[in-house]
Amino acid sequence: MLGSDGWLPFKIPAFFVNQTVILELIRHTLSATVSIAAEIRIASWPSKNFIFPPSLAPLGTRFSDPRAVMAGRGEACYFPRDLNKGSYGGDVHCYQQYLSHKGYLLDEPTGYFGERTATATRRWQRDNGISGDDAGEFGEWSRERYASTHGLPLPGEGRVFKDAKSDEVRNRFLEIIHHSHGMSSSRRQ
Amino acid sequence: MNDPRIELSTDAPIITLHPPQKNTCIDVCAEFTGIQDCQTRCVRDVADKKHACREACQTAFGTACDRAFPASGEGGSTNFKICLSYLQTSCEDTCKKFRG
Repeated sequence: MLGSDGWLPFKIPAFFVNQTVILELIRHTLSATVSIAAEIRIASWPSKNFIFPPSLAPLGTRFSDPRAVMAGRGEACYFPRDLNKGSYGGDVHCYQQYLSHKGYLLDEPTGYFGERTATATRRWQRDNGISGDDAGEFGEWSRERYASTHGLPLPGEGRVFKDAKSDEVRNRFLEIIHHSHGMSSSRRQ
Repeated sequence: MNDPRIELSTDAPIITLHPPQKNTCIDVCAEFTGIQDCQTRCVRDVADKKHACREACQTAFGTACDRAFPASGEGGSTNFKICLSYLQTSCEDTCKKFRG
């Protein structure tokens, strides 16, 4: 259970933090669903229906859910920015899953765009006749090709956009929630 | 006497004012070990809500993983990778109500 300050009631030295501990830590994290004028969705970890991949599964876990197999094909990635060497994040990870699924990347997705991802990108661009972007950079032409192939909004189309005003409203709302629950979101490990 | 009226050119642009379109905004928050990131994405067409949710989730989840397991920390890149490996399933689950 979480402590009153929203943290686990014990401390773990960094060098003992392994995959199992990380899973335990994350399994205990806050998961709350709130709703206000704007719809707020909480990405929780893991949900009650969550399927662990075999390498991380607790003993006795079964893997019958097809989602365990379906997940990781990188078929619904969103690229609001160009990706190139040095980029990292959820979009990079999703892109690497796509490259991996298509056979362009042999390594496990890491979320970091390095030399191997750049090489895989060059091959993918060559096979798809994309020459508008610098070789090895997942730029606007590449993003557009990916989006059109997968039936997703095209970059620059403006179908999905950020809105400064709703950012403000959301932040104020979350502040109120945090105060009322005595939580802090600014603490770091 | 000069006529004070000004004749408008017929090739002047015509501006039609439409009522402002109502945007739908979706906030997605991801939180690991007390470290949180929230992202907002808006759409004009409600049919695009699922895209707003997925894009917001992908960004929020990735940023929360980065903050929770920074590269400078012990085992940072490994834990970051493990954290991200749950992104797709978690975001699918989070945004499933907008599937369509």
